[in-house]
Amino acid sequence: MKGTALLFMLFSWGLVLSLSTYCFSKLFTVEARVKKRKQAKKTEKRSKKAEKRTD
Amino acid sequence: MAREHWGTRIGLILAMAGNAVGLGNFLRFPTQAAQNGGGVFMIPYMISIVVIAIPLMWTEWAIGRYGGVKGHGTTPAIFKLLWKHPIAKYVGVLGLFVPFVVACYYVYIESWTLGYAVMSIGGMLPTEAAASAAPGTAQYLKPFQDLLATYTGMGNGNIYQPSIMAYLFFLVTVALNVWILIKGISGGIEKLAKLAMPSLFLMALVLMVRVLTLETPQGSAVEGLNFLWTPDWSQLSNPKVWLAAAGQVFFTLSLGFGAIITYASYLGKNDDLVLSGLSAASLNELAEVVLGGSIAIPAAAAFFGVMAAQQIAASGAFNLAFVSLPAIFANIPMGSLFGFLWFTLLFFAGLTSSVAITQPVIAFLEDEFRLKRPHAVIATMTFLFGIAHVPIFLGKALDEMDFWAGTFFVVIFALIEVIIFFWIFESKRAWEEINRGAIVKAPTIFFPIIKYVTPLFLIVILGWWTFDVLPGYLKNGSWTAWVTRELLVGIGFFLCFLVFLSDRRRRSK
Repeated sequence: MKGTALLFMLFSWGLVLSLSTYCFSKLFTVEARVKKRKQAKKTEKRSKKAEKRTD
Repeated sequence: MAREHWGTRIGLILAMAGNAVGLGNFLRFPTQAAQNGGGVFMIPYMISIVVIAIPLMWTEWAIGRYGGVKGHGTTPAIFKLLWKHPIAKYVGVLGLFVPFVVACYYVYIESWTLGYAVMSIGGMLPTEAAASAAPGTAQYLKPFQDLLATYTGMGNGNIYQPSIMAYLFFLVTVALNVWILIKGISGGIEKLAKLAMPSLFLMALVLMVRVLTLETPQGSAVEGLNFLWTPDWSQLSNPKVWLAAAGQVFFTLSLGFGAIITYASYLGKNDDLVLSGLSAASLNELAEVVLGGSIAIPAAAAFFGVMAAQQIAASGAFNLAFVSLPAIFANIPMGSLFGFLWFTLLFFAGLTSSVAITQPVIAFLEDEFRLKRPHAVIATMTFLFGIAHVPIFLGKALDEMDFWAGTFFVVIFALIEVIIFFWIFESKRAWEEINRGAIVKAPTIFFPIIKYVTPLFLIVILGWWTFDVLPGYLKNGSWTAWVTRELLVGIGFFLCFLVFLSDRRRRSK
């Protein structure tokens, strides 16, 4: 493949692939964080309920 | 009646990407790039993404979410919320008119891809000529051109006579759309997106690998990539190349169709839209720049040589999809399987887009007339089914509908959206609306871009079309063109009447 053609193709592909990688990695890390928070809240509620019962 | 919501964020992103990824990603982009400076086309293309596509996309998502929270999913009612003027709701009719008219012919084209997929796997596509004629000759493509002409019945006459098979596949496609739409947002559209989008990417990847390993005495796929990506620097100063790039990013993300607004109306009040919108756009770009650019043109160059590939690119998307590529697949080992993959890929791309552009009218009937979803779907699809017979049987009607609804009014509608949201509704509120609940805040540089640069760019595109392209279309005096134009005016008035009725109904309550 010609040098300039390859350069333009790789530049375009790189731009698009890095945008997708950034977006989805950010989304998935946030989703994971939200899930963790929800789970933590749930376990907290459960433990509080359990505490009340034992009281 | 409570409005529906998306089940998951990934489902929403895939549905939005499904709305954007259409036939244009695999057919329009490579031909546009090849005809407008090759690799250098990517410079105006990327700039257009930043100044037009991303700002407009965020605007549409924000308008949709704002309306959805207040119980409205379509622009007649949402524009009325944003702009307290009696005419606002009638301006918003464009958000119903554009997607509905496009859906009327899009579903028909989508049915061709289904028909061709079945014919491919069933071995019903021509193969004899492929074996006897030398590639690159007109004789080689002729059986496929004849098949397309017989299948669609599209000739030079004013009345088309499609084959019974084409009509049957059209009925099947309509039925499939009805079935998915009746199941609702999370139960139908989202499930479809979760199934169709990964399959689409997988099929495109398989085809890309196969095409890139093609080599014939006429040429190789690498030569096709060379042809597509070699920059022609002289084209960078050509305004037509810039307008072509702006037009391409506009259509590839389905901006100005009203479908994004309706889809976004099913978001929660504080759901993120900045990163979700960007993710959906990035998937669309992946399908377009990486996969779309590596299938059709490289395959044509490998089989017919670079010179013929140039002519094929200029002959238009239909020729590329339904004549050239099936001709290529007919002459490679396991060609029927690759042909099937190609047409199934196009069918999935079409199906995810057709349900998206049908949704605005359905949402309008549900939100404004309180129709139950099955009733709204049946009413919309019955109307669509009736109107679709015009492009099926009337000569040149499809081109006419595509020009007015799918090209001209799309840009007008996008311009109206930006003006209403950023100038009338007030730019600070609009900016806050975009950033509400954002996982990643939109960079502040986009504030002046959306407010000033995007509308200016749209005005330039609109001006160019009005003075350069529009006169040519209006000169087309065939009676079929005028019948289609009158029909479009009729549909517009009918939708205005529905908006009037919905407004009166709301006031009486």
